[in-house]
Amino acid sequence: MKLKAIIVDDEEASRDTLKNYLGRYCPDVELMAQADSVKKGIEAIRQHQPDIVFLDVEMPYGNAFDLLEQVQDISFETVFVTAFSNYALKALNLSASYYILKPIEIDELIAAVEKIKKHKDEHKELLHTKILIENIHTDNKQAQKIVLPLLDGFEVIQVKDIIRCEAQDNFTDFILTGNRKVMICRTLKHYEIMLEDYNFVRVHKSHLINVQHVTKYLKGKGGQLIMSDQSYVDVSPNKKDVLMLRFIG
Amino acid sequence: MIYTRLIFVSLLLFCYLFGYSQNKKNKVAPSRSYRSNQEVNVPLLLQKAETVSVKDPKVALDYLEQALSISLQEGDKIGEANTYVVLGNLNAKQKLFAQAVNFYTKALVLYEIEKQTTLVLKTRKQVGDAYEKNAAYDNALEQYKKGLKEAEDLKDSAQILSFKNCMANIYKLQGKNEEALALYKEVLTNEKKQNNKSGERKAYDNMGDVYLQQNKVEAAKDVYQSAQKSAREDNDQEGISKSYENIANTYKLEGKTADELELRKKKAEVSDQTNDDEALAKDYLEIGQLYQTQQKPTQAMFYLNKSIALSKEKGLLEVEAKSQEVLSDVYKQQQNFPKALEHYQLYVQAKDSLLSSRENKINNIISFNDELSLKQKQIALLEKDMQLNETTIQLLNEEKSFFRLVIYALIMGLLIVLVSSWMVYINAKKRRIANQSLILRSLRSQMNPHFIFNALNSVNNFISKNDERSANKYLSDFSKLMRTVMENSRYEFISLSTELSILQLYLSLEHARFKEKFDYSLTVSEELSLEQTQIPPMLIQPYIENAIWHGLRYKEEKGLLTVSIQPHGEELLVTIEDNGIGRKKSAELKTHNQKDKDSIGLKNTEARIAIINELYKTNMRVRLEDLDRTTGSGTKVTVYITQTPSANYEA
Repeated sequence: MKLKAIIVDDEEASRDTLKNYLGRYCPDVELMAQADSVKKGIEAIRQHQPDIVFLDVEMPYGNAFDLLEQVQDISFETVFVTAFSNYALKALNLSASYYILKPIEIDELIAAVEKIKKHKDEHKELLHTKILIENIHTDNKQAQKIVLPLLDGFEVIQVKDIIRCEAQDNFTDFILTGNRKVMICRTLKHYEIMLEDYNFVRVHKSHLINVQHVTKYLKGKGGQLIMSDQSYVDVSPNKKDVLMLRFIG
Repeated sequence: MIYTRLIFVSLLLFCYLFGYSQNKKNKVAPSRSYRSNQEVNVPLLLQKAETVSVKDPKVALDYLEQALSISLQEGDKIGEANTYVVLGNLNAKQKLFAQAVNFYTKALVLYEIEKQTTLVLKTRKQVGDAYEKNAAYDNALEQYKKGLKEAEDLKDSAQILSFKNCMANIYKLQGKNEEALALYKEVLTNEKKQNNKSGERKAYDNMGDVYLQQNKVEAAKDVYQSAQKSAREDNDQEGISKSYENIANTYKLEGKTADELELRKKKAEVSDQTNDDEALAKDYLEIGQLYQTQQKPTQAMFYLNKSIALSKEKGLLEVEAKSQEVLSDVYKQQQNFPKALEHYQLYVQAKDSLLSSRENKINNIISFNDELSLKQKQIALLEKDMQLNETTIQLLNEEKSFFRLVIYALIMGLLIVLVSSWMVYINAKKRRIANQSLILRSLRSQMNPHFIFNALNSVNNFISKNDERSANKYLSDFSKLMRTVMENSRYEFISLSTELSILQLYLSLEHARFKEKFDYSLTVSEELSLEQTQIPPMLIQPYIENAIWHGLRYKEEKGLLTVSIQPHGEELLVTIEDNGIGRKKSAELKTHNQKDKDSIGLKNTEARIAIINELYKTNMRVRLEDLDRTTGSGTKVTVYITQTPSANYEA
């Protein structure tokens, strides 16, 4: 079964480009409609009930998030299309939403479409877009959800469930509440950037901690932290100040 | 601000300290005010003092006091010493030898300090002489020995001789006959060598005296006769007279009365010829005495009466008294007692007057000495005062130099502070300029990344359409624009022609994207020289971009963008006009998800203009206004660009 798709972008050239590439390289996608504004986009979504929405992040008269907020029941996956990486990408990363950067790379487009198709074929319930919107509506950052890509799929957890992250070469161990531990195929740096606004601090070369889960601090050269699961985390001397600032501030 | 205050404070401090030291100086001045009423100089005063010293020693002292005070004031050591010498002379004349020694010694010390060698020798002799006259022979000898040594060092043969003579005199007085004789002989040899007859005679006489002390009467007579011979050769009547006297004395010792009498008569002859009345009177007395010894009363009486008459006439009491006494004796021997008594009474009378005159003289001397010593005490006081003053002055000078040092130190410190703060200031300024240049560099080269990516999107679009030519054209134009921007971004100012090519490329690329949204025109006044006119690169572009992205893009129908560049006095006037939706409406259209995205380009440009103004002292500015005031639609941006005459502003 073909995936129904809609393109929302204010620039005709951009829409054209995407349409041309989809037509040529993504035979599984059937383009239902194109919209040049948020308003027309919402209409098209309601009308066509698409599987995929290719959504330009920045548009005049409201951007991508304005559009998603106005859609009642999200039953589609969104591929964000943006000209440059900025703050929006952090939110997208948390929910592991799909995005491609302009100028559009054909391989990236194909990969995004294939992922969505595969996901849909496996009848998975998870919709990244839904989580994204939930997160946008959740002011308490610790209560927001994060989508962790596992080898065989995804795991959705709340930020507050993460006690700390520990680097294991190019992988990252997530130590979660309830004595759980997951290994994620991403670098610690990736999560440090993603979580820096979520009260997480990189206290050590291989430790990223959730400040919310610190129970004790032991003085020392850099010192040590005791987390809520009674685990000890070393603090680098040069990270001490940043950490202290978090406690005081 | 802080520097001026610093300078002010330091000046104040300086003034205060300077005033303080001046003040001190003034305090010293009054005690040195002798100077004012004196046009006279020290040598003149000394000369005056010397002329009156015999006649009126007190007036002389006045002169000397003046001379001393001037010399002390002026620190004229030689003048001071000269004054002491004259003072010494004055005292010596009054037979106040101890005082004289004092003054001479002071003079001596000063001469030694000033290295006045001949004056040292002269004064040394005077010191010795004063000691000698005060019967302090050892001291005198000491001085003469020193003098001799100094004279020997100077190889001054005359002085050597003189000092030897002086030493011999002392030896003679001390009864050290052998030493005296040896020296006199040496002197004699030298005087003979130099054919100095009077010196020679003096040496003979001295030797004679020594021989007499040794009871070597014959030897004495010999040398006296040598002296006589010399005097005759020289036709020196005084010398002859002296030799008669000396030889006569030897005859007296030998009891050769006849020989003695003969010589005395010869001497009397000489005295008569030279009108030396005192000597003549004495000669008559001696002759009278000799006749008395020879029991020749008539002759004796004749000479004694002659002596009495002459001494009475000349007031020679001593001679008169002695003559009367001898005459009385003559009468007594002749048994003429009344005459003897008469003359004895006359003798007593003369003796009395002699005594009283002596008493008078002594009284005079005593009273005079009192005055003199009073005066001298004043002088001593003056001296002390001056010494005290000198000490004070020295102390004050030390104080002054200390203050001066403090002032110099303060000035130095101040200078260091000023210089270092100035250097800090300059450094800070330099660093600021460097920083700003750096900021400027980072600000000006920024092409909006949106534009770049959008341009690349357009290329992608052509690719997606398989429109090879368009893709190629667009890519080439874009490359051309980027190249021009990059090449010129290191300059602070570029020629208008270059800037125009950038703007044209930019406009055409943007227009290619929004063909249906706007038309544009770019006009340059013909008055402007495209090559001479200078303009900061990429200063106008953000305003054009702004007009397209926030004004024209939202407009329903096709808009118009006009860019015009024209001269405006000394300035360049760039106007960017669009009939888009206007600033207000553009802001309203943004949702809460878009709000925080202000135009970075415009902010950067404003910062850039501010820094350029500061660095180049220019007055560039931007005016933003709505084209249609009532509806608020359309925007007019006016950029005033200062034309700087020199062309090379490479940062």
